[in-house]
Amino acid sequence: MNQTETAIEFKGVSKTFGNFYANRKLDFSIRKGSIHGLIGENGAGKSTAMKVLFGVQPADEGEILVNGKAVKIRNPVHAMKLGIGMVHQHFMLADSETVLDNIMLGHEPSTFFGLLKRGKAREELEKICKNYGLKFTKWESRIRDLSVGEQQRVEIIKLLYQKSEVLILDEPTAVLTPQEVKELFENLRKLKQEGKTIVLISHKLKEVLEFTDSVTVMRRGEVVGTKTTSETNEDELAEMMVGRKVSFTYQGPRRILSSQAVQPKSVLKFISERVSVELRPGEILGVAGVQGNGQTEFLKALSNPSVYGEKYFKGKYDYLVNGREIGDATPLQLRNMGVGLVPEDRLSEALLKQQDMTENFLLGQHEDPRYTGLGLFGRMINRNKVKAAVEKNIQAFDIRPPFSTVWTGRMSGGNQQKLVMARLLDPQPSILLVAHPTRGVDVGAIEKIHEAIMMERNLGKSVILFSSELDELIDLCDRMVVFFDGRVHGEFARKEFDPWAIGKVMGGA
Amino acid sequence: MLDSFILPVCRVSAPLILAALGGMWCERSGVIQIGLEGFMLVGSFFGAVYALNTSNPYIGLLMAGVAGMVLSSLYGMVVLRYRANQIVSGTAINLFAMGIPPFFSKIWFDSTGSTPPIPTAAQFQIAPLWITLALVALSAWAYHSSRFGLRLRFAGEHPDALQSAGVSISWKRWQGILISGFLAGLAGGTLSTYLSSSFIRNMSAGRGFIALAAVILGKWKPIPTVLACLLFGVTEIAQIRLQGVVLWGAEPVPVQWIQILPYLITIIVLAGAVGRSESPKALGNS
Amino acid sequence: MNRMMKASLKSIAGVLLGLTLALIVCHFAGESPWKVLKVLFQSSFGSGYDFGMTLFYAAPLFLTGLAVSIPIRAGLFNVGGEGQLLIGALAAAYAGVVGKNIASPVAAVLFATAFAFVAGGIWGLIPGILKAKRGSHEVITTIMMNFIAAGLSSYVTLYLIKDPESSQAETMLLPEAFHLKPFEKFAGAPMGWLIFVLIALVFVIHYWMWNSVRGYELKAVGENEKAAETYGISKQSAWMFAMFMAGGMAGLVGVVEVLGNAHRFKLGFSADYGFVGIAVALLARGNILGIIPSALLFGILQKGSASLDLETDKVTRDLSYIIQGLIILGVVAEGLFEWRKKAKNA
Repeated sequence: MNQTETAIEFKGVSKTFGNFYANRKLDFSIRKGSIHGLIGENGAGKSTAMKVLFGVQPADEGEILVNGKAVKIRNPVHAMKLGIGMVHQHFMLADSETVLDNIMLGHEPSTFFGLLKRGKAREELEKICKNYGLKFTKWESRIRDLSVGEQQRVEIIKLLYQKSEVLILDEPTAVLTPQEVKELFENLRKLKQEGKTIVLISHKLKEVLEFTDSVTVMRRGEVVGTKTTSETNEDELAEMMVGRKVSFTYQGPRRILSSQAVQPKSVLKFISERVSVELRPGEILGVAGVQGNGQTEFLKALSNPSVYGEKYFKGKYDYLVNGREIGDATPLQLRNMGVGLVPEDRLSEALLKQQDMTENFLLGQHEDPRYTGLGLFGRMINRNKVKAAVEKNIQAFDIRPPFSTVWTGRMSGGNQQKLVMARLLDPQPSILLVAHPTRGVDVGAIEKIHEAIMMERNLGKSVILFSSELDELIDLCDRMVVFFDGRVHGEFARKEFDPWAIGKVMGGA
Repeated sequence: MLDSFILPVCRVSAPLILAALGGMWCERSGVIQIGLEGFMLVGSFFGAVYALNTSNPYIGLLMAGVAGMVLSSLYGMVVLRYRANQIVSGTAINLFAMGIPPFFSKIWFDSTGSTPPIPTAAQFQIAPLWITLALVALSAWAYHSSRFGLRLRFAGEHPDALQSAGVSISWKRWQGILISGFLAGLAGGTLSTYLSSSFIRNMSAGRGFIALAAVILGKWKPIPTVLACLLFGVTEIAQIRLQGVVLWGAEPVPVQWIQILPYLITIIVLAGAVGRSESPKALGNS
Repeated sequence: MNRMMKASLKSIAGVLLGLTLALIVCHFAGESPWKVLKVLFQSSFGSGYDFGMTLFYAAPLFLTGLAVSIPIRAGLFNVGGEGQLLIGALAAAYAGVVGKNIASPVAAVLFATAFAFVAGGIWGLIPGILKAKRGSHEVITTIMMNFIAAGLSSYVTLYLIKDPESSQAETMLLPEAFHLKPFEKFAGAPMGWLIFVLIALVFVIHYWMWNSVRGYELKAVGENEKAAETYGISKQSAWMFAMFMAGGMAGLVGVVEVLGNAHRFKLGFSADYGFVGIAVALLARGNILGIIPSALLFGILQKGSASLDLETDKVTRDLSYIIQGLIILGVVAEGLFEWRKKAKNA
C-alpha cells in the first residue's frame, strides 16, 4: 500500500496578496483514488490553495505536481486539460438553459458546419451515469427547474463528461438538505471506486471525519498537518484547526439573567403558522440552522415587515414589539421603536461601497433629528454632526483606516463590520437583530464584535443572533432556536447546549 | 390583399427584421445594443453610395453591411476593450453616426446630407425580401441548434460558465457586436436601395430603436422578435392606409395618432407581460 | 477633492481627445483643422450677438444636462430629455393660450414656467412609474416616450392650437406679458437674465442633491438598491421622484425657447438638446456643478459649427455630431487613460 500513486502534490506553494500570506509554504499530497478532506476555518486559506491548483490565481513560489510531474497551471482551462475539475460554491450553470446544453458547453459534439449533435452527447452522458452508478434522467429540463442537489449532480456529471480525474468540491454541503448530503457522499464513494480522486473543502469536522480517507488541516494560510482519517478524531482535528493560541470563545463577563424567571414578558414576539419566536428581555437568542431553511425569510420579515411580511408569510402573522402590533412597519418605524439591524450580507445589504464612512453612517439614520433638520429646501443633513459622530465611533471601535472620508469598499471586512455595528448601536436600540456578524471577518475584529454584542446584552438589551457558525451561537447565546425546512424545529436553553444534539435537529431529526 | 397589404408589410418590415436580428445576437452575447440606429444610418448612406458608384445594388447592400460593421467595431473597442458604459457609448455612437453621412456627402456630392437618386437599374426589385427570409432562417437555426448559438447564448447567460469551459467571453461578444453591425447596416442598405431610391437626411428615422423594442418584445428569441417586427410593419402600413380615412365621427384619424402606435404598443407590452427575468442574465455587465 | 480633480482631468482629456480626432478627420477631408477651430471660436465669441447665441444654445443644455444628472444619481439613465422638453415647451405655449388674460409679466412668466415644469415632469414621471411598478427598463421606455412626444406635439401644433395666420407648423403667438426680454448688448440674440437664473438653478440643485435627505435617498438607491431598501429607503419613490424632477428640468427648456425666443411653439425647434444633454451630463461625470462648463462647451460647439456651412468648403455643421460622439466616447472609455494600473487588492 505504500506504493500508492499521488494525484496531486503541493511542494512549498505560497501565495501572497501584498504583504499578506494567503498561503505559506504548503506541503501536502493527495493520493489517487481517495477522498481527501481539506479543512480549516473561514479564511484559513483553503479556497486560495484550490484556486492556485485550479489555475485561477498563480502561485508566487513553490510547485504543484500532477501525477508526479511538476506543472505550472496557467488557467482553469489548462487545469481542466490536466484532468482537474472543480464544483464551485456558486454553480457554473445557466438557469434558463437545459441540463444537456449546460453540460456539453465547450465540448459539444457537432458537425463540420457547427450543427450540435445533442443526441450523441446524451448517449455519452447516459453511458457515464451508468458507469459510475449515478441516477440522472432530466437532460432536457432547464436548470431553474432542478433542486439544488440535482444541480450539484449536474456539475459533477459535467466534470466527468470533461474527463476530470480529480474533482474538487468547494463546501458542497452548505446548501444541501441532510438527505441530499447523504446521496452526494454515496455518489462520491462510487466515483472513488471507479478510480477518481476527490478533494472535499469543508469546515465541518463531522462530515470530513465520516466521509474522507485522509485530511489536511489548514490554519492561517499554513498546513498544520495531514492525517489519515481513521487514525484521528474530532478533538485532535479541532485543536489543529483552531490552534491553542487563539481562542474564539468569549472570555468577558456574562451577567446572570435574574429577571428572567420573575418577568417572563417578552420584548419581541413573532407568531405565525410555521415560525413562532419570542425574545425575552436581556437575552441573546440564537437562530441556528443549515443555510436555506427559512432563517433568511424570518430575518427579512422581522426587519422589514412592510415588504417581506406579505411576501414570505402571506400577511398571516402577529408581530409585536414591546406589546405593540407592528405587522406592517417599515424599517424606519422599527428603528424608531428601538429595533436595530445588522443585515445578512454586509456588502450587498449594509454598505454603499463607493461612499465614505460619513455617508454610510447616515444610511438608515437619514431621518434622525440628531443629524438632520428642516432647511430652505426640505429636510437637510447636518454633515458636521454626522462627521463628529463618525469620528467618535472610529475611536470607540478602533476602525481602520481612521479617516471618515475613506470609501467603505476599500476597507477590510472586519472594519466594514465594525462600522455597521457602530451604526447599529448609535441610536441606542433596545432590540438588536444581528445576522452573521463575523462572516468574513478577521480574528481581531471578531473579538471586538463579540464583545460589543455581549456588552449590549449585559446592559439589558435583547438580541436575536443569526449565525451559521454553531460555535459562535453556543458561545454567546442564552437560548437557541433551530430552523429546519422553514420551521422552528427545536429549542435549547443554554445549559442544554450540545453541538451534537443541536446538529441533529439542524439535520431535521 | 397580397399586393395592397401583405407585400408592403413585408417590405417595411424587412429592415426592422434585419436590424432586430442583429440586436438580438448582440444582446444575447451580453452586450446592450442601443447603437442599431447609428449602424442603420451609416448603412443606408454607404449602401446608396456604392449602389450609385457600381450600379449594382448587391454590392451596395454588402457595403452597407460592411459600413455598419466598421462602426460597430468602434463600439466593440470602446465597450469591450475599454469597458465603457454600454448605454452611454451606444448613445455616443448614434450621435457620431448622425455626423457621418453629411460629412461624406459634402465631400462627394457637395450636398448637406443626401445622395443623388439611384438609377432604376441599380435598385432592388424583390431580392432583399428573400435575403431577409434566408437570414431569419439562418438565425433561428443557429440560435437553437448550432454550437455558435449555444456558446454565444452562454456569453450572455452565464459568462463564467463559458469561460470555465474554455471559450473566450470577449470573442463571443465581439462576434455578437460585429453581427449586429453588419445586419443593422444591411437593414440600412435596404432603406436606401430597396424601399426608396436615394439616401436622405436621417433616413433611419428611429427604426433602429423600433428594432431594439422588437428584440425586447420578442424576449430575445429569433422568431418572436421577427413577429414583433411584423407587428410594427403592420402599424406602419396601417398608418399610410388610414391617412384621410374616416373611422369614427366626421374627421379623419389624425396621422400622428397612428404614428405613435408602435411606440405605445411597445410601452404597454413592456409594462404588461414581459418580466425582467427574460433578458439575458449578464446583459450589460462587462 | 482628489477624486474630483481626477474626474475633471479625465473629462478634459476626453474632450481634447475627441476634438483632436475630429480635427484630424477634417484634415483628411481636405479642410485645415486650424481654420475649423478658428471658425468654431470666432463664430461663438466674435461679437455680442455671437456670444448671446452661444449662451442661448447653452441654456437648454443646463436643463437637459440636469435632466440626465438627477436620475443618474438614483441609478437611472434618462434618454427621454428630448420628449420631456417638447412636452414642456408645448405646455408653455399652451399656457399662453389658457392664460392670455394675465397682464402682469411676472405672473405670466411664473404661470408658464409652472406649466412647463409640471408637464415635462409628468412626461418624465411615466417612465419612472413604469420602472418602479413594472420594472420596465427606463432606457427603452424613455426612447419610446420621445417618439410619442414628437407625434403628440405635432398633433397639438397642427390641430389644436395652430396659428391660423401662419403657413408654418407653429402655434399661436403668446401675449406680450409672456415674453422674456433679451439683453441689448446681445444685439438680437434671445438671451437675458434667464442665463443667470439657470446658472443659479444648477447651484441650487447641486446644493440640494448634496445636502438634502431626499438627495441622499436618491444617492443610496443609485448606489445600492438592496441596502437602501434594507434601511428603509423606497427605491420606487426615489425613482419616480428623480424622473419627475428630470422631466421638469427638461420641460423648463420650454421657458428658454417659447418665452425667451420664438414666443410660440415651433415644430422642430430643438437642436437635439435632449440628446446633447446626455453628453453634457456625462462630460460632467455626475458632478452637477460640472454641468456649467460642460453645457457652455457644447453651446460653443453648437453655435460655432453652425457657421461651418458657410465658412468652409468641405465640412458642414453636422461635424458637431462627430465631435460630440467622439467626446463622449473619449470620456466614457474608462480604460483609456489608466496606464496599466494593477488592482492592488485582488
